[in-house]
Amino acid sequence: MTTTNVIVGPIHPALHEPERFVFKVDGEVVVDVEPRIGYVHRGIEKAMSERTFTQGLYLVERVCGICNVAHTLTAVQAIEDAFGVEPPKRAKYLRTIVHELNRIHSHLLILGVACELIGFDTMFMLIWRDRETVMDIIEMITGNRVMSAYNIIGGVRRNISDHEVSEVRKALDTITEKVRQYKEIFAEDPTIRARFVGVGRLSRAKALALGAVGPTARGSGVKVDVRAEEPYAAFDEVPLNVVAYEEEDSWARLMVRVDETLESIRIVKECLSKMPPGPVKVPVPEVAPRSSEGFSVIEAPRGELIHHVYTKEGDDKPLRYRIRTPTYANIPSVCEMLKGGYIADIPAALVSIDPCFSCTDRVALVDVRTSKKVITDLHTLARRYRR
Amino acid sequence: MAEDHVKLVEALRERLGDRFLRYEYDAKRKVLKVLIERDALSKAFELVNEISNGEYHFTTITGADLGENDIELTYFLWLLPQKLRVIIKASAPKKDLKVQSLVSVVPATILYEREVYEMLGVRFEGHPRLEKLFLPEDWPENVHPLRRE
Repeated sequence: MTTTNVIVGPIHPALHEPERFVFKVDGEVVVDVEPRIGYVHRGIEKAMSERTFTQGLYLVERVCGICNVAHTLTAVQAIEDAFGVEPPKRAKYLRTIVHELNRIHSHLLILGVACELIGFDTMFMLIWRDRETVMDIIEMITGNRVMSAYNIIGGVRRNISDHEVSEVRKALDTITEKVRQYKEIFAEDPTIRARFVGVGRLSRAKALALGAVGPTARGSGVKVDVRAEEPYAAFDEVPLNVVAYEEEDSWARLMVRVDETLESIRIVKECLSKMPPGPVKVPVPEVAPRSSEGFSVIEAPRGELIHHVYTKEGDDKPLRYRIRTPTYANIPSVCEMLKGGYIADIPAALVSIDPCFSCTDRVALVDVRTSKKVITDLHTLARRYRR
Repeated sequence: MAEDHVKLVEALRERLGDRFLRYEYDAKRKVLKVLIERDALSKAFELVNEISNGEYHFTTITGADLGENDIELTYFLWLLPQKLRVIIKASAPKKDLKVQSLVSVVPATILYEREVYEMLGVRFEGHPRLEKLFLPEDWPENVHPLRRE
């Protein structure tokens, strides 16, 4: 069998960081996939151990702009675990609220992008319009649209007022109505179903064996969500209903996100009503009070995220800091999804793991036998092969 | 009825013998931390496979050079039916940085082992393709960015 190598990347939008894939294709069918990552390796783990704990928070926030709250939350929880600090209850609720608002905006973002990639631009614009409502509430609560810098070691940076609470409630009611409509569209619209159903299959057994996380795993029927299994922040008092689909394809992974958006809205509302009064932060020592080790696992919008920190007594910097992001964990799974599928389905499968789209869209197709190279962007690729 | 973590500890102790070193259990967070010898890693994960019937999620490996003579490896996993967070720790001396690769037992370790290899120089024996993952191709051999010396 003669196969042709199709090289995608390294400057490629479809993953958390620019990444290079070599697709071995036989005609239109992808036979094998080989990933090569590391093009934007920024050495953050090393840089973390050269900054103080507080400075480090502003660095981890920049691991991913979209899910920045997830990163600061994991970081403060891991450091609190190592320090032996317990944040006040109200702070835990506020953390949960901002964390879930962050998830709502992230999920709406990827649902919009997924629609755009299949040529359903109207849906993309409608979803992104409604995402602005969430961005506005995040700005109101934290003071910034994107980089919120809201979580600090020992609590959160600022409190929420009664007026803000009522504004959040109002905005959430508007979004709920919209997301319910989108759910109907995602479930029934022939365009969306034609493009996503049966594409990028990942069996439950493979998802488990390859360590898939988040909606990628839950779209394959693996009913695991850190918020339910290892409750952190306020999730022990505001229990989560885990969303999982059994279809094992791209469509299921997108549906998980639609349902999770509704579930997140419910959680935020419940937190707002259950939130106790009291302080929102406690004083924390600047240097590590003990030589210890702490870790925190949370459910970021893209899946399980872990931070692991080693501290040394009397030192104001971590001895070792380790971060494992969800997209990294999903790379072996996405390779599995692409195998056996059509080249035309690559964008539809890649988008379903919710990789980061903040980078430039450029894809190079190379025919190794003729060395003919075509450089194109992902949208043109998507359009060219759209059927 | 014995608790899940007790069952796992007993099974590990029986399977690994004196290569099982010690364990700690945090009842509040349901976290079991087990320290074993590095040459018992694949046996330990085979046992985890049997006990959970494959129903576990492998989170990641942390490799850490804490400035001493050893590199500490931490394997994080989550057992689905038992709802238990398990952390398996082993260490390898810097003079002889060889550890069994778990790829044949736990396929999810394939990229994490490559990362620990390039960052700290731990050689995972039996890994199908122990090459650089994040570092550029022209990065010098035997220079491992997260080593302290």
